[in-house]
Order: sequence, then C-alpha cells, then structure tokens
Amino acid sequence: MGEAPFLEIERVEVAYGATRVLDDISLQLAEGEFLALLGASGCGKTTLLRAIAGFVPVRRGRILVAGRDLAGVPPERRGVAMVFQSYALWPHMTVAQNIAYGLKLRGVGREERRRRVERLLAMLGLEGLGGRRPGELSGGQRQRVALGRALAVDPRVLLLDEPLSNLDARIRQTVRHEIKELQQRLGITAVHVTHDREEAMVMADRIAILDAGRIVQLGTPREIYEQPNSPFVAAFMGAENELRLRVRGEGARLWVEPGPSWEAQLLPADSRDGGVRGRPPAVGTARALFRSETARVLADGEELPGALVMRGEVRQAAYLGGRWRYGVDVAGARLLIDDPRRFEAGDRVRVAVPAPALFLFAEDGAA
Amino acid sequence: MSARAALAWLPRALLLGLLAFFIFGPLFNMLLWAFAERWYFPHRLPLEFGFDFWARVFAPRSQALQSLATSVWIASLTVLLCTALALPAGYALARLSLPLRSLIMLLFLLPQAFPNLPVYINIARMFYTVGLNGTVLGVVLVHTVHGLVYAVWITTAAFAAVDRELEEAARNMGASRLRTFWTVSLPLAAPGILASAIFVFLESLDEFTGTYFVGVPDVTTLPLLMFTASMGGNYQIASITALILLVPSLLFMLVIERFLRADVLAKVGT
Repeated sequence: MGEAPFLEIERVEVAYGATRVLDDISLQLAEGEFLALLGASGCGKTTLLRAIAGFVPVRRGRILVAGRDLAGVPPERRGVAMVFQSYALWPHMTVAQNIAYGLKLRGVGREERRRRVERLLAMLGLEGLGGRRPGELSGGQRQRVALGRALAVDPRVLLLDEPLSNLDARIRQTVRHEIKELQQRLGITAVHVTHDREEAMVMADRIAILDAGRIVQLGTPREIYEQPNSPFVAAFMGAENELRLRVRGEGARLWVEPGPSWEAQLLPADSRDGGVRGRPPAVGTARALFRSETARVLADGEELPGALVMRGEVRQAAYLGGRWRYGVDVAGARLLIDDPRRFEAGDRVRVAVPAPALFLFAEDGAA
Repeated sequence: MSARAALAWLPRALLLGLLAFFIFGPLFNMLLWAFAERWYFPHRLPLEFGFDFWARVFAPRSQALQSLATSVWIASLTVLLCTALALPAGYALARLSLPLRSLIMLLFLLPQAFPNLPVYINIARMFYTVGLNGTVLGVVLVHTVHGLVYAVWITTAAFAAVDRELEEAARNMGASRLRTFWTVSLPLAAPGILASAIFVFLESLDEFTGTYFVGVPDVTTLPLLMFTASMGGNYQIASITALILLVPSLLFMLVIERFLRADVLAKVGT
C-alpha cells in the first residue's frame, strides 16, 4: 500500500437535520483494495456508502477518487458503481437490458454492448438468462445481475451495500468467495458494508469498525480479531463473555485480586509473549472479555499456568457439533464456555481462559 | 328449508329487491326507451319496438355523431393538457416529504369543495371577456380544471409507488435526472398514468355543467345533446346517446381491472 491512496475520505461529516450520522470519518484505500465497513445497524455504514455514491450530502470534509474531489459532482458522474441491498433491478427491463443500461449511456454500440453483456453473464454463471425479467429470477441470480450491472461500466470504485443479506445462508458462503475472487481478478477498489463479522473477515483486506457514526478501529481482519482496541470491538468480534476484575500491573506480570469466584492469581502481561491482550489499567477495575471457544473447563486437579481460572456452576448445555457450549454462572454473570466433554446442569466446574485469549480494558475507557 | 327459515329470509329478499330496483330500474327504463318506437301514457310498456331512432342517431351528418366527434376531440385535448400538467406536478409531489405533500394535495382538492355552478358561471363571465366563450379551447380549459385534480392525485400515487432506489440505481449507472425520469420513473409509473388519462377522458366525456355555461350555443357535446333531447321530450335520442356514453366507461373498468396494480391504487391520496 505504499502508493498514493485511490479512494480518500477526509474528515467527513454527514448529518440529517440536527442528527449527526457520520462524525469525522477518515479512510484511505489503495487501488484494488477491498475494505469492509462493519457495524451494527444504525451505525452509519450505509450512509457512508451513500455519501461516496453522492446520494447523501456531505456537510464537512472531502471525498476524493484518484485525487479528484467529488464535492458537487452529481451521482451520475462519480464513476462509482453501487450494488444495492435490495438489488434495485429495474423490473420493466430484461436482465440484459439492466446490465447494458450503463453501457448504453456511455455510447457503447449495440454489437459491442451485446458482446460485453454476454461476457458478463458467462462470468457470473447467468448464461441464457439475458432475456428474463428480474422478477423471474431467484434471489442469488438477482444478486449476480446487480453485480453484473455494476461491473459492466468498469467502475473505479465498487460499493457493496450488504449485497448478501437477502441470500440463504448456504448461498451466502459461496457468493462471498465469488465476489472476493472477482474483485481481485478485476483489480477493483471496493467498499463493502456488512454487519456480518465473518463475511467481513473472509472478503476484506481491511476492516473498519463503525460505532455511532465513528470509526472505532481500522485494520486487517487479523489485527482487528486479535488486537481489538476497545471492549466494543472485542465484543463485536466475538468476545462476548465479559467479567470485571480488579487488577494490578507488576512489570511483565499482572496480579488479579481475589474475587467472588476466583483466587488471587498472576497472569503474564506482555501481549507479545503470551500475555493478556488489550489495555489493562495499571491499577483498578478492568473489563475482561473473551471468546467462548478460547475458554475450557478444567478437569479435577488439573492446573493451567498462565490462565485465568474461575469457579462456576453449569446451568445449560447445547451441542454445537464436536463440542458443547455451556452456560456457566460465574460471580453472578452467565458465561458461555465451549468444551468437548459432557457436563450436566448443576455440575460445579472450574473454567480456564488462557491469558492470550483474554482482552482487558480499563473501565470507562480510562487508560 | 322450513317455513320459518323462509319467512326469516323474506325481509332480506325484499330489501335486496328494492335496492336492485333503485339501481337497475332507471337503467332498465332507459334501455326500454332506447328501443321504443311508440310509448305513451297509460301504457306500462312501449307499444312498438324498433331501431328507427338508432338509424336517425347514426345517420351520416347527424347531430348526434357530430357532437360525439366534438366530445371525443375535446376529451382528447383535455387528456393531453391534463397529463402534460400532471406529469411534472405528480412527480414533484411524489418526491416531497409526506406532510407537505398531503397539504398541497388537499389544496388541489379545495375548488371541488365549492358548489360548481357559481364557479362555472364566474369562469364563463371571465371567458366571455377574453373571447373564450363558445370555443373548443374554452371548454377544454374548463374540463382541464376539473380533471386536473384527479390527474394529479393518481399520477402522484403512481410515482410514489416507484421505489426511489430504482432511480438511484439509474443515477449511479450514469443517467442524468431527466434520463432517469424517462427510462425508469416514467415507464414504471405508466400504468397509473394511463389510468389517470382514461379517467380524465371519461370525466371530460361526461362533463355537463361547465360545457353548458362555457360552450353553449356554439359547442355541442354529447351530454349537451342528451340534455336538449330529453328537455324536448325526445327520450329515445337521449337514451341512445346515454348508451353510447356508457361504452367508454365499461371499457375503462375492464382496463382498470386488468392493468392497474393494487399498490398504485393503495397510494392514491397518501
């Protein structure tokens, strides 16, 4: 990514009336990069996409494509193509007419149009469907027609607004990879909006996590997954078990003070060397988050050095295939813990979370 | 069925019969008159049936055919003028935010709230001073004022039923606002606009009061002819012209049934 950014978003602010929807958003994408905007509904991710497409006025800040400021440029002259969540295919046109629409506007001749539409239909596995109306297609086929329409105009930037959310779970899995592969093959710069963490990780080179109109973290899928910078990101990336611990830093180690369900214990504190992650406070209460699949139940008498160990009671069990997910009550909180062995409700167990799987953050965001 | 049950049905049957009489009685009477050659007082039914009056109505250069032609010509011009005005107005209204839209639509309806006789008399006075009285253009203008309310309401509903994302997709693909309107919004709203055109056409064809004040004596439409005929006791001619006027209405109902989507109709007035 050493080259000049291709799509630049500079301190963009968008507001509807008095409601600020996007606040000080800055992003830079290299040419050919795939960025996912990940966030819960209402966080402003679709608004950002619509601002890039020119459907939403930007109150402050700049959006640039290949160095050109898009302020005042109407949607039709931005050279960005969008795949809508609803697909927005024109019901009164055939599939071929839908795809050829942008080409026709660009003055591409009839014969050339036909050839390019054929090529796109073949590329998207829609051979022979050119004469159909969108209403006669399945959801997956419509999604591909919408993608084909966007790709037909050779866009400089491809915008994807939750294009997979209306598909069956199984089709979604394959389409993810298809879109990613297509985007890489064509070398298009793409911004993809989604609320699906796995989808973002599979498809994107980088992920921007949005919360209440702000980017809270930006990084590669691995960075975001392994080094979330806030409890919000950690929870959003699947670390949904949460506890409060009183901790005290001591060089490369971290004392956990005794709590209602755990003894005083010592954890490694250097995250580069198998220690806890996140930003624990020097002294004070920390929010501790971890993923269910990283914890496990200890056998009787078993010790796991360098792990947080707690006592709890099994309350419910669900079989996930190959392992069980247990609801374990620890210090009044319900934690979800995965383990391959079978336990019954009412069993008293010890639960261990290895230090590298533990994300610690000072309470109230104070460092 | 027991006698008691049959008795219980009697009031309902009577009520239905009475209702049918009120609805179909006059229509039936008209139908009789259309084919009656001779029919006078103490007789309940015509003394003689035949097609003499039909022949007279459809005779070449007959007054009836001429006024039919005038009626159709005026209705066609009214449709053109109404649609030309309702297309931009309806599109703009459909894209307005809701409270404002309702307000403007209500304003459009306001002239209809006044008794239309004084309105037409005043229009006639105004037209008289500018020389529009007794001209086809004058009648077309009066019909347009009347038809525009329906045209704007129906057209607005038709455009409002077009998903805005479909227009955004066109803009996104490189179409200007105008191009988007012609290639996406208009074709998708076409069934509703067609309905509005047909509705305006029929309204103009049936319109009497305005035509009477503005058109008489130089412009004679079919309803005016019908009025003169029945005033002159010529019920046969009046009934036959009424039947002719019925044909387009029936056709319209068929078209509405076949082509108009329920979601367009549901948006009328919202």
